[in-house]
Amino acid sequence: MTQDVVFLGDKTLSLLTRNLNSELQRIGSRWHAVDSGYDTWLVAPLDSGSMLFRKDTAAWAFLLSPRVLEYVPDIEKQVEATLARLAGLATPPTVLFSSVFSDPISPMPLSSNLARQARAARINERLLGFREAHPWFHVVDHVGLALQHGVNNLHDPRFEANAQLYYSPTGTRHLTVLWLRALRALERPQKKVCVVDLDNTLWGGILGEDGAEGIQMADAGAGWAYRRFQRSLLELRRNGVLLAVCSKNNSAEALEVLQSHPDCLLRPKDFAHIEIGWGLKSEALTRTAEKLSLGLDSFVFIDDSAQERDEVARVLPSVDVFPFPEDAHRLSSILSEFPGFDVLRQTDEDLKRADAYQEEAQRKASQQDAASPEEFYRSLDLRLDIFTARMEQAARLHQLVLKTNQFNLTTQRLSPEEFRNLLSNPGYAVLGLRVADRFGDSGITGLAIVDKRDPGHWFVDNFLLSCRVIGRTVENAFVAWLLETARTANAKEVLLRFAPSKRNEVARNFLQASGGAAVDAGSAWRFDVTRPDVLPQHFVRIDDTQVA
Amino acid sequence: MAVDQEKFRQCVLRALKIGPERYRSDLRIGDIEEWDSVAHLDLMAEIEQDFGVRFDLDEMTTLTSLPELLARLERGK
Repeated sequence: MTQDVVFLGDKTLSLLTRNLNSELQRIGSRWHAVDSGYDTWLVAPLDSGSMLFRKDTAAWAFLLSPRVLEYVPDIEKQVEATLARLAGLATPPTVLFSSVFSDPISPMPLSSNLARQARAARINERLLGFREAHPWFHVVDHVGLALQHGVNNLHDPRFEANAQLYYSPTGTRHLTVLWLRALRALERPQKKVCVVDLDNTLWGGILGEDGAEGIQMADAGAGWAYRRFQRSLLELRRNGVLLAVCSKNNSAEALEVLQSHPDCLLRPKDFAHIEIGWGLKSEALTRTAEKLSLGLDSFVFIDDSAQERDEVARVLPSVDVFPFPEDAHRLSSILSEFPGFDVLRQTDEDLKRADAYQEEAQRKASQQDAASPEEFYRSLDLRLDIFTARMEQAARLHQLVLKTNQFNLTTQRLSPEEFRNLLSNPGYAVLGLRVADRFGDSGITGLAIVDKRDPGHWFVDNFLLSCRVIGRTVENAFVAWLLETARTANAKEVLLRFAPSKRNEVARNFLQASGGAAVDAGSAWRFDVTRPDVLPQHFVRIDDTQVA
Repeated sequence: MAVDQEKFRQCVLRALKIGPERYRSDLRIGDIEEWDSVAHLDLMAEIEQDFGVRFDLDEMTTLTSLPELLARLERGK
């Protein structure tokens, strides 16, 4: 099943859509790029008969060339009017909007360029502000594209003269890569874990041969590339990617370097898991995945050794093996070209994720101290906030729809549009869940989609929880709450739909222990609202004041 | 100047995004749906890059068949 993204611009974009479609098809994407024609960006959104408003159109892509800064009078007002039009739509589609850069080739480069650049900056700032308020709106970084490749490599006057292309065929190739990444980021979950080797990866040299004094990660000379790479890893971590170590080394010696080497930026606390030993790396990665309760298909493996990369790629084909460069100085640029960590916007939960795994480690330690599971659960002081999902939370909640694998009852990967449509559908309750305990607040980590169109029988189309919050009786607490809520609304029963997948064994186990009855060959589990006593005990305080 | 025929053929296949079975040495624009006016722009750019030539605006619109393109390349830069 394909979905259309319609491209709108001030110039011709047919070469871009042609190249994009060839790439999208090759990688098996659902997206299909549609060219709306020459200079359509101002008019087409006004015309309800245009292709923008067709049923199959799931996204609009606005792609403004630098020429708008020169040719369009009142360009700032025009952008503003376009944004107002988008915000006024009853159900806005997903919108991708390019940031704007100015073409430095001008008759008075020393003076007039500065004014034009300032105008571009004001437009871009406005786009980012608009994005804050609208989860369906994304900005695609054309300024970065221009800075990286340069206008001389993006534009060729002959093609603008001949075909109204701002981006030459060569420029369009770079543009295609950028837009391919943006469209993929909308449909594919971001990688969650970055596993790195140590020798000749996190630092230059081999610890066992060169010693702690001989390895390189200083801010200048041979260590610079590695230090720079460590900075990149810290940036990934700040943005919610978990870091882990997988190294063949003497464990005590390598840990000592991570703990106290003066040039090492990354410290043991920055890693969610550390594997240092002499066994197979594929086995170490498997242990890491178990420890973090995450699937190997969310792993990226970075190692300088071709043998290790090969071993992991062969044994664990779902792991994304990073194309390590021959020259370490290319590490940062290859990482920048690597699409695995692509995401168009960050949610608050992304920014907290790495710390959340540290909290989990403390929780596990406390679990080992407790005399019984009940005592442990009680000691956690668990709180569950249930709330009716609002549009501004759609980005985070939809991310859960895409990313959650284990505790996911139906693994239905709704598109962003399908999901937003549910939020405004009065027949459905879309409920978000937030879990907190004495170790920390997990943020929005759960979701339930309840089909209430038949008042007597509520169908839960999906119920999912991030693996960070399962196993603390929160799932039981939610079902208990839902039964009580359904009973108050005079419903007779609640049915939880279930569809098995390769990965949701955890969800099946939960249902089998839930006290409900399997119906329709296990495709749903039925609960009588008058029998909450069949449910397993929970230890959670529930706050549902935000349920509409 | 002799033109490397195989290099030329590979360049055409890549630019028009077609398999070798679709290739004919006498192809011209419009003969196959893959060679439309949009693909033609890519073909011009790919040939310029691979053969180190630079077409003027007029050539871009008149060199519309493989024999014409080859003849142009044989004349040199």
